[in-house]
Amino acid sequence: MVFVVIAGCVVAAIAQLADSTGSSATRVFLVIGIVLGELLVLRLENGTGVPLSYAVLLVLASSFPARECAVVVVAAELISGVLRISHRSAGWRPQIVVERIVVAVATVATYDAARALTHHDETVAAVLFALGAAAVAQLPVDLAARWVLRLQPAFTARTRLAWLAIASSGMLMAVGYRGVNGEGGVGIWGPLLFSTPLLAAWYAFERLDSATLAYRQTIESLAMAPEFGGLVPPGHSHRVATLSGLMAGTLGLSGNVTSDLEVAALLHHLGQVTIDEPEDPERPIPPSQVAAVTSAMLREIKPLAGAGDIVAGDADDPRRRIAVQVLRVASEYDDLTARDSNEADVAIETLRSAPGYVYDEKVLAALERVVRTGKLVTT
Amino acid sequence: MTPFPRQLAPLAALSFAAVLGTAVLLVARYSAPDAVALTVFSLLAVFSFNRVVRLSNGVLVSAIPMVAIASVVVFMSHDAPIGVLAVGALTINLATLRAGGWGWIGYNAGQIGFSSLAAALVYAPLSRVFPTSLPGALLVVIPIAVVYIVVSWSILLLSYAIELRRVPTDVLRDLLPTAPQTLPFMLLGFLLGRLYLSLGAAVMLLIIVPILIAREMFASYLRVKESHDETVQLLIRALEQKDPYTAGHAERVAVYADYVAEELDFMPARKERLHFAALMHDIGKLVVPNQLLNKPGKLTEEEFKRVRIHEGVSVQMLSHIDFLRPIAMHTHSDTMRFDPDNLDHPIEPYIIMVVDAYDAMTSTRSYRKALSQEIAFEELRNKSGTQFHPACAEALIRAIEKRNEVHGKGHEEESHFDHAPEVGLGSAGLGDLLPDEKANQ
Repeated sequence: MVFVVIAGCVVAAIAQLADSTGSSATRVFLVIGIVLGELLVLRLENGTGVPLSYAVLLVLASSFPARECAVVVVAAELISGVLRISHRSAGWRPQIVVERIVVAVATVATYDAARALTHHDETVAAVLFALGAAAVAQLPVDLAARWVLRLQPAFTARTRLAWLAIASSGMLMAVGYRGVNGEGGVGIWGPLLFSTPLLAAWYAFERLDSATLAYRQTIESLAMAPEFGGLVPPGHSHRVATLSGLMAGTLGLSGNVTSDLEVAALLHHLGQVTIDEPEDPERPIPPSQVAAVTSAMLREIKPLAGAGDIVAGDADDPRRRIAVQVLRVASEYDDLTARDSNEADVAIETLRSAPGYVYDEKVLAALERVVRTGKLVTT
Repeated sequence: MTPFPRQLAPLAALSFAAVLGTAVLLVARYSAPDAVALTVFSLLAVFSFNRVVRLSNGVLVSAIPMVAIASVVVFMSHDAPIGVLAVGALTINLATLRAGGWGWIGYNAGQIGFSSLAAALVYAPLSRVFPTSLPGALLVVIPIAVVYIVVSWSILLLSYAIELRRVPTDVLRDLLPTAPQTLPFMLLGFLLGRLYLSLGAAVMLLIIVPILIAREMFASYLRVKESHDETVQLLIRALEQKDPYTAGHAERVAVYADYVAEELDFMPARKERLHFAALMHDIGKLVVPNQLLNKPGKLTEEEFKRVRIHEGVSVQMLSHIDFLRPIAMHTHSDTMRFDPDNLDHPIEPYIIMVVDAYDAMTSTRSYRKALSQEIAFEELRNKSGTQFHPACAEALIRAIEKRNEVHGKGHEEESHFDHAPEVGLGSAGLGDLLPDEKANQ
């Protein structure tokens, strides 16, 4: 990134010398802005992100003719592509370039159309209307492009906040660059300084992303302990968590309950590592004792207390009672298939043949749907 | 809300009275502020003051200086310094207001109000002399930023001097590094003020939205981080449930690791990574049967092998956590002996090895009583350069001596094993570094 800034500044200085009006240097700065904006993204829960370059596109669209915008965008995307390939960026695919160019075209076209609609009025309201329209257009176009190009479109609460931050900052940067009716514009300093709040948002998104990852990985790491200790088959917790998550989706459980359920599934055997080994190996520790010890441990930790309730099988809320059943069914199903090497059909039949009070019919149906639709990939 | 120190009550009262007195003088002599601008900037100031973000290194980041400078540009364009003072004085924390913290309200009104007013009085003549187009504007922003900071810090240092809670020079040493990060906010405030004058209040919304989102995301980050910290406690409790004699071990190792990191001038992110690695370094012990961990006598060869498995498991489990992987990969004892020629080896595993050994030596275990601090230091020094990284061993000793802390025999906060033998018997052997000759004494 530092290399991009230094190289860009050198090129901009040369451009400034060659073209005393300064417009070439400005274009070089905007290319750098888009390249940096491609490297800095507001990360979303599904591992994708919204690039900060979309904010720079608003500056570009509001101050340069379409042909010049095209040159700047293509140059920036080429440089970004080369940088990503040379750094072997994880998850980079050529479709991303197509997606970005589609969004750039939509931004410029919408801005021009909105300006035409307001007869190119140089009033604050008219300029903000055009910028707002261009910013709003970016969202559906980007989602559609991601859907067509199979780039995992997402429209969660975090996605909407990311778009809002980029749209508002982009509008401010554009107004700061061009001004309105000759007032308020400070040239390239505008986008440079008015990008500060957006950079603060990027920093916060990055921290949230890395903390969420560390939190999830720490739980997964703890889940490995009973497996390394030979107390449960390798991969059991992970498989049960995956299956529970899919069943929760099928049953329409809420995000919070699903999240607690997945943690419960990952850690439901953790307590076993703290129990003394039985003197008689023929008499293993009863599952109820493992659940009691595990749930007591989890309930002591505030953010894991919900998961502890599910492991304990102790829930007042009807949705949490379903989560308890999901964990029980998913764990039993994994034991039947992975430990006892039964076929999926046989395992489901075995669960169905248990007395009616053992497993909830709705939950068994959810298991069957998940298994039959092939969503569950066994590892 | 932190209770307002009683010693500062006169300062707060004086400061509030001074704000009111100055306001009366300014009203009589200068123009009245624009009502819309006063409303917009006061709301923005209250909003910013209630959206302060505390970074992991304890530094508070706030948009107050930005709002203050923006208000200077806007109100001084109409020669209305009362607007600047009013915005500064109305910068109120709503939680403090609800709790009736009038001391803080009076104090803050004086600090922010007079800092802003001082900046405004310097800005007025400068704006007439220097060009207001960029980058010429920098020539204006730098002196007003300096004045704002000097006045603000002077009031802060005065309060510390009155309160006698901290030495003002120490406070100044903490404040100085924050000055450079304030300047971009002030330059941003300068531009925002100009943008307001040119384009009106609508543009203010465009800057509030990303700040608000940044703040919300940061709050979410802090919540997840807290959950993560608490989840690590789950591991520690599980370990202590397995082996009660190591109660407090993980936390002490993490504290000693923090000491060493401080001595070695680690950056905050690196320090945090080391702290977590130190807290979790025994994670592999979860797979060792309780009976072996707590066996008071010597372990058989078979048992010893089973116990040693925990190191490999620790490496595998910690490697699953991305931010700990660089440390985890080098924590196995087979690769841990200090090798001065191996420069690729990160220093963190060596730090954990030293602090782990120090805590093992200075705490009572099932197989022997705690050793004295002198013996532990001597052992660290004797094995420095062969078993232990010299810089880490020295840093730990220096840090403990600097703090006048004494650990080990006779200084343990809690010991769970009154009947432990005086000298080591080998047992689980984890970290028991008592030299043979001393064991035989």
